[in-house]
Amino acid sequence: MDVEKYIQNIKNSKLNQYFQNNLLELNPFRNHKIENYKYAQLNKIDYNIAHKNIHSIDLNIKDNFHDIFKNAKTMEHVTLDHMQWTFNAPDSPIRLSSLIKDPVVHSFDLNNFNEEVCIIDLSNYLELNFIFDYSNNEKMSLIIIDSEINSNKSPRYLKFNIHEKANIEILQMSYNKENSLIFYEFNQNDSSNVNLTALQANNVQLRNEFYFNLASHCSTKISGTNFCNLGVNDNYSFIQHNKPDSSSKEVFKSIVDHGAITNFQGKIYVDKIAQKTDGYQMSRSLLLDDISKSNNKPELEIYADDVKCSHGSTISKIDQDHLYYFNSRGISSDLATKILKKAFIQEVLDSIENVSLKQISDKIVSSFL
Amino acid sequence: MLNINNLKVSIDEKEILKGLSLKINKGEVHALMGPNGSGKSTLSYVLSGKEKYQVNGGSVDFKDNNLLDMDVDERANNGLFLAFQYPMEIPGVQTSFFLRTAMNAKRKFNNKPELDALEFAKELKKKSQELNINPDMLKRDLNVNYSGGEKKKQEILQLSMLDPDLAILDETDSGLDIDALRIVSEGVNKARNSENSFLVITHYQRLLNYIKPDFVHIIADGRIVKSGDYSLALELEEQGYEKMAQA
Amino acid sequence: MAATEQTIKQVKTLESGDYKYGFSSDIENIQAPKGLNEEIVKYISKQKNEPEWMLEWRLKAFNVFNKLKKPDWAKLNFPEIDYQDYYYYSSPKSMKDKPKSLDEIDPEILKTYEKLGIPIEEQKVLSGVAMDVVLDSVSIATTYKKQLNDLGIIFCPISEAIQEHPELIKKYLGSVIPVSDHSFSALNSAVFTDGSFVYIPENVRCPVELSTYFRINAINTGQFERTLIIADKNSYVSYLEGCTAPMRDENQLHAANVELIALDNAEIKYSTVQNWYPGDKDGKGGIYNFVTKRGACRGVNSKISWTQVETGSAITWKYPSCILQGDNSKGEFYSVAITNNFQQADTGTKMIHIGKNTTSKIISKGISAGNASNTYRGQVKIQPTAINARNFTQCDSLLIGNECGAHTVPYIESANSDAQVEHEATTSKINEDQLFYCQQRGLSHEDAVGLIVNGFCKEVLQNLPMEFAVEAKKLVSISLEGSVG
Repeated sequence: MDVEKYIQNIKNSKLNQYFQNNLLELNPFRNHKIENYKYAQLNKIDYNIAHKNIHSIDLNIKDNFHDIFKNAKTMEHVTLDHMQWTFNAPDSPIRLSSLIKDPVVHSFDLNNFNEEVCIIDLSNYLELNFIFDYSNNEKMSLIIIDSEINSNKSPRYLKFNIHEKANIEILQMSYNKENSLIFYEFNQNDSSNVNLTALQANNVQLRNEFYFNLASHCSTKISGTNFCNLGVNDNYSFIQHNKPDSSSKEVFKSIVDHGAITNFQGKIYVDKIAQKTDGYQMSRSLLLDDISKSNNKPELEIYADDVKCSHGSTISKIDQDHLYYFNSRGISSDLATKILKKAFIQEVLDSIENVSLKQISDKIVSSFL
Repeated sequence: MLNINNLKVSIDEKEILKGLSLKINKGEVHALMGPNGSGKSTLSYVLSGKEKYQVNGGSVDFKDNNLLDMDVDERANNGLFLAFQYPMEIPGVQTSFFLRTAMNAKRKFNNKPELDALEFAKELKKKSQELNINPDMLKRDLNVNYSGGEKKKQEILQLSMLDPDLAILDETDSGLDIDALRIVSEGVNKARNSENSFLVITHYQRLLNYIKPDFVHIIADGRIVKSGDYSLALELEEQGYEKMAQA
Repeated sequence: MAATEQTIKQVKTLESGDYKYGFSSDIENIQAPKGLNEEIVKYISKQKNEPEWMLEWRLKAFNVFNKLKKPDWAKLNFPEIDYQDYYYYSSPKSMKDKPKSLDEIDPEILKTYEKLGIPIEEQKVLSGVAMDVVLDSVSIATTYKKQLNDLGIIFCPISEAIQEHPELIKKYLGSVIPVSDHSFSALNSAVFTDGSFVYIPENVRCPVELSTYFRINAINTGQFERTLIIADKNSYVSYLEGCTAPMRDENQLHAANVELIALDNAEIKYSTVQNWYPGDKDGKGGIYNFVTKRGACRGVNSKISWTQVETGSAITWKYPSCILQGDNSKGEFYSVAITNNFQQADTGTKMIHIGKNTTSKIISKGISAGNASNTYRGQVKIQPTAINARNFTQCDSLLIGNECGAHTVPYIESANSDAQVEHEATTSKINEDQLFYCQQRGLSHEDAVGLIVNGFCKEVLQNLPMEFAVEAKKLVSISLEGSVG
């Protein structure tokens, strides 16, 4: 995507017209009266701000990946199915619309892929709805690439059924998106583990929603980082502890500049019977200039008494004392800022377990700094 | 090397340094002693260029350049090093990576090529062994969860790696036990040579048993009130600050 | 000395010395007809002998009220309010009316208040608190009036202020909480009956704690008090507010508006201990408490500090907020909210940072027991102009039993990179080890819980003025009685 050209186009055309013609048909970004879309307001995008430093990122992902993962497979064994579609997360008209639009569901049995890493590039598919099933105890790593400029602006729906004792690691990447809404739903059965890492960069208008339904003795780890330099970027998560003894840990870090807006809304829900739940949620934003904004709404809704839940949220700029320490060792402010940005999201990179995934993430992130 | 002339500094409109003068020549070690609130740390911050310190008068020449005109990193690359009293904890930045970045910044400043990884690793291993630093420590985040002693050792390791012309040690002895104090001092002594200079800021004479200064200055209320040789430190230990400052 | 004696005597006459929260005084009342319409608004205004401009203001507000829907953001569950089912004006015919007999008091309630010790009113009088007593819709007495007068401090019922200080009322009333803010604020603006008015002139430090004491007495009465406090340049005032209501099966309605204005270098400290009737064990009855409290730090270096202990009411809907306009202004919010049985609370604060170097601090402690639901809802908003703004928020929730809920809903919005916003929240249960330790030292289970919960709330309770702190500590323990099995 040539973003500069893209912005120029937007500037030249009448904004109203643009909104009407180009956005999701059922546009959640415009309806801030729905609590969950409170901050996802398109009219807050200021297209007059000079987006000088923005250029399309060519990650050359596939080549990169194939270098690293010689044995990786992309999805070829695809079965198309009409499936009974059930929602375990709260319904919303927006989510349902993807089904109305395309009642065909792409169904993947991840157990068929016995390689170390499996790559799914969403741009390869026109379908909107996907179901993934995984039941092996052995850990598998999955990469989901979401980067195409899709003419199809309908919301997408990705549902994961993680069976008992299954163990999966997912790296989700969203970049160069001009406008995207994707729902991720994870239904975790007893004693399953999910480790999800989200890397997002260079998106104009992005909203990812993550729904987790946890049975007992599950563990869920979500780590996200969003480099937001344009438009409005939104992340929403809803983690539902339905049964006892599960733990969830979510860390979300955003770096914002060039007048962009980054939003994080997250909720930990603990059912009455979900005793001994351990829930943790942290969202941090780093504002790099005076015109950027960040909104955070971390939420706890708890009905069980024997639980340990906490959340935290911070918004600030780069610590000036840290900068001073770097300077005092002869490191220029520019370089120090880069290093401190990397340090800010290091926690997210550290959460990736697969060495190869870690490597590639590191590389990708470095190209964003 | 360093020539401070009648320096006046305030912070938040409160004057801390009230006309301080100090001259340090190449190869000399100076000790600056004084009670709490006398302006010791202010001097070290001002020399390193920390923001918020307002210079109201006087001058500081460093290697014949006006130090006060330079940015913080410019001063560092010109050979000024401050070993902090409270080294900053920076999560997410590996200690060895930080060191390497700092060394390369200086090399770049002096138009030298970057240090290759092997050379750096060799140097780092040698220097950290001298200071009895556990190699694991260098893999951890910068100063995060370091003990007080480890932080100070890490500062001295940076000092020996960066090889400055003038090193300011700001209460490096605070929070150190006897063994750590000895190791840290040995590290400093090893870094000493006829080309570089040190300014050792401390409360106690104890540190000066290990790092022998050529000159000792007593600071009180933002001015140097007395200067002498090493014997002044002993005298001070006996008589206390109050008496000495009056004299 | 004479003043104190006089005050004691006066309050004693008013409350007949047997004042306990939980019973209603059988006082003959002048009451407006039941229901809400324009005529009632006019009736209230007439009863208060108000000038024309005030009536117009009320009518305008009533119009706005008719157009607004009830705010729906709170996590509260209660039947639709039938505004026509309340009396909007009630006033005792004579101040010398006495209750029929003490025997009518529910022994349960009496027991509760025995535990509180001396009647709180007396305690306050003895400790030199100037009080404005509001019984239903009428402000009955303001003590210490003369002493305050000498300092130029105006402390009087708001109805009196409308008559005597119209210039201040016109300037400030509704200037912090716009009439159209939401339906409760509009309702209050239309039908408010009484409340306190405080004006602290320039360079005056109010020497005593000012206090209002609210009490809903008459059956099916809505209480709509309105408080307006103005602290002029370089002044200081500490204001206490206490509330109780008798036990009734019906849900009584309370919708107050409180506006604070702090000018340059002024400081207002506002403390509340809210102990409205919470309803019985099965959730029957209790006060619906919809309160809008908002302070504006208009001047540079001004400060507004809210402290609240919320133990009563069936429904609590309350967000004492600060608008930090002046450079270097400061907002604070300290809150303890305890819900037991079927109580529901949705409470928190808003800190709007507009001026440079503004700071805010939020400490909220929520305790939920029985079948109760307790929600912290708070907003921290940093405007682009608020350079160097700082906020720190800490909300902790404690759950006792597994039929209750504790929720935390913070909104953190920053549009300034120089600002620093920090939010922390935890939810947990009472530490079993602490409980065991206390019991091993001989404390009963209930006492141990009270002790631990008081410790949990300490950071907030210590911000209360002395007289209140003692009472609040006891309230904390009492509110949780029967919650631990």
